[in-house]
Amino acid sequence: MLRLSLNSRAKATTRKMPGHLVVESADSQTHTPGLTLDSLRRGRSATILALGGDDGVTRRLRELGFLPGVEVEMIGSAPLGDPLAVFVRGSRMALRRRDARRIFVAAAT
Amino acid sequence: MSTAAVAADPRPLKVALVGNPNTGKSTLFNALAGMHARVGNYPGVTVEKKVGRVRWEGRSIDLIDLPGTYSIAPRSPDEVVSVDVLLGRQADIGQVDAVICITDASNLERHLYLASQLLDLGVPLVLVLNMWDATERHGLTIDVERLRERLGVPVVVTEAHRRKGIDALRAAVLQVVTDAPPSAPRLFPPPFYEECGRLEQLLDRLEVADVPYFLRERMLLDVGGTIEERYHRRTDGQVAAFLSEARTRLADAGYSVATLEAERRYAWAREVLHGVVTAPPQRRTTATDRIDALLTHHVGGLVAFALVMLLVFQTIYFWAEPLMDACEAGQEWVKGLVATAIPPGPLQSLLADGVVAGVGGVLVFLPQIALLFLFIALLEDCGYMARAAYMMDRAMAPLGLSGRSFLPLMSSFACAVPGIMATRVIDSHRERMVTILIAPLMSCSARLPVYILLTAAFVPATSYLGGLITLQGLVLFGMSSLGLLVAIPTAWALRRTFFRGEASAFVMELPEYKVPSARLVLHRVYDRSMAFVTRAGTLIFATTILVWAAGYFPGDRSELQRIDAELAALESSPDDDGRAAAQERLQEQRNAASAELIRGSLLGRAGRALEPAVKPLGWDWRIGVGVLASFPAREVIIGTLGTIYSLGGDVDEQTPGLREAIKESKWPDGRPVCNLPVALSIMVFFALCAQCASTLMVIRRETNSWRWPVLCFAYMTALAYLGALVTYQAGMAMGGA
Repeated sequence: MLRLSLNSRAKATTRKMPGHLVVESADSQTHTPGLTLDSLRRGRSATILALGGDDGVTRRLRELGFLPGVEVEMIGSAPLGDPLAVFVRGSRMALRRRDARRIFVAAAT
Repeated sequence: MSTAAVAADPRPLKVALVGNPNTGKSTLFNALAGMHARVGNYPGVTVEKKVGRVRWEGRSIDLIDLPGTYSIAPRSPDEVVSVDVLLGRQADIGQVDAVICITDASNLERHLYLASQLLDLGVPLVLVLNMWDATERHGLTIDVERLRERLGVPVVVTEAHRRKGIDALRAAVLQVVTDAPPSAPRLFPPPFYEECGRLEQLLDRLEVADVPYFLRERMLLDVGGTIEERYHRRTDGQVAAFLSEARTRLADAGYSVATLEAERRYAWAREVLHGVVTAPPQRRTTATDRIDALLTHHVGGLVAFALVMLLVFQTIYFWAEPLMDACEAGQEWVKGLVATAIPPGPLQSLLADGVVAGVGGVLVFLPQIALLFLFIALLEDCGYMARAAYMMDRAMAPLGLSGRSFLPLMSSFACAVPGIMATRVIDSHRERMVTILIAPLMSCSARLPVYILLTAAFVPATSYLGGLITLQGLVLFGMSSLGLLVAIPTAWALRRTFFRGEASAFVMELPEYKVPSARLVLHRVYDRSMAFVTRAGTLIFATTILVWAAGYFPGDRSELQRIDAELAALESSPDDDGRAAAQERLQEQRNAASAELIRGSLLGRAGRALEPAVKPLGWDWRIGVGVLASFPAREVIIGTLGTIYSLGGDVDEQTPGLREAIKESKWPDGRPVCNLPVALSIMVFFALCAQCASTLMVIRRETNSWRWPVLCFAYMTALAYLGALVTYQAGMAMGGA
């Protein structure tokens, strides 16, 4: 089980284990998110909930501003299906599907 | 220090220019430094060192252009150099007096991430809000005064492409050098700083001196990073052990080191910008959105891309051809001058075939390089290049590379020299190196004459589908694709051996489209062309001289000179059949003499000595000499074969005589040398071998090391030999003779 924190005040341990993902928010309510950035439809917006994994890719994503609480908008995909293009913090960023799959989002209502 | 004292101080001020990619940094650098930038290399890395010396208000300034980056958390030796420069630890630069942080005014939130890291460095900082005109287009208003107050550093608004705000920037830099450095915003929680303190004590105990505060922070933050590695080795693992414990302690206290920096810095950026930047509630659609709707459209985008690529390469071909022909014509003309001015002998040959050929051999690449970089600069500056990389990324997956490698590899199909130079658009060091090392495998235009000659001579002229597809065409296509096919496992092997490491995340910004700046584009073309001529050019020239010497010495040329003198004398006699017959006879004698000379030269002797090694490939010594002679440049083989087969050196792949001569050549025991398997084995060798000194020298220049050209040469020659061997043996086994 992989526990992530939504803000650095919650307890956090990261152990790399595939499979079931649980997100614990500050008010201790647990829910299992299924929506990842790569499944967001074109033109739709969403808010980032958490980032999976703890390697260089995730670090880079965070560095570039993909953090919990940030809004992203899906622009579309490249002609060959991959990579995707999204709007984040005011710029257009291209990222690969498999990296977008690490970004858990909640669709904007 | 008063400004008067500053002005009097003769030591040049060092000012570093840092910023995210796509912020107009190059334009700003050019606006500040003009054309006076010296380009070189930092020792041991591939990062280019770009320094411009200017005078502002009587004071000498060295402007250092550092590579564009999103963060100064160093992840590779190249990135470590930037950090070292900023910390004043780069020996050839020394103490940095000020840093200019350039940002895109419309996107401040992300750009302030880097700014906050720079503030932690403790070097005087000037923040530049560039591309100010775009803020209006986006409907943004920015309270610059308030930003200045909150950050505590000068904030200058500029439009670098219109040269606006440059004077204010100069004044701000000169001012900031005399002020105290800004206070670092301590963004991290107290436990973090406690651990930094403990780390300092540990380093003191271990007698590892002189670790700046910033690097200590980086060691804690960058798990498994380059800085940690650097001190890991020096301290026998003790530092690593401490860091691991420290991080666990912080995790227990509720702070995950992995997320800490990003969260804190972005939270700070948001706070700083709150009330400073006012944006419209909905993102405005701009021209970029409309253009992208077409240019990245699933069908339209690919069509547009194909058209753009076609346009680029057709234009290069169209313009480069006549320029290259002109260069060769010029070479001939100078050779003629040399021939008349200097009597036959080693000096004449050195000048004509060595020096002129050497200089010509360098200049002949310039049209292609200049034109390719013209297009690269145009496409990069207008913003389309990023879209091209975006669309081609998936296609690069079999090679394990990203979309950024597409253009360099595609250019290498024309010529690897500009293709390899073009790899500087690739930001991942690992990917760049792999791209450089497989670029020579792309079937370049110089291989075509060999393919054409041998295919025409040995491949049967059968056709299929009613003449639509010919066997010869298929073989040609096969040979041209062989390199690309071999590149796939080669790239895989390279990634597993020399360039191990995590695959870098392909997260690439797609900047706004803009009209490319003519000044910047031309500056780039000039930059790259000069870099080629001065760095690679000298090496290519030297190699040409060496090869000339190997082909010239030893040899008694008195026979050749006698024939030449007779031919010259014939020119003045009456033009009739008798003269024509005499000329033909003399020319035949001359060709035979040339053939003998090549046989006896160092090159010829080497070829004959190597014959046992090439026999399994089906070659005889003549082909061996031809291949050997073509190591500096592939095209040479045609002329060399012509000479060896006593046809004289003035042949090309279309010369029927050469085709016949190859077909007719025989082993001492009467068997014909050349048949289909032999022809195929020669072609396969050429497809896979690194027979281009120019390419190897450019690799040397771009990687700043001899190791990589040597490796490239070694692996490709091995592959080529094996490939040729397998082709010949398999061909003979399948009854090819």
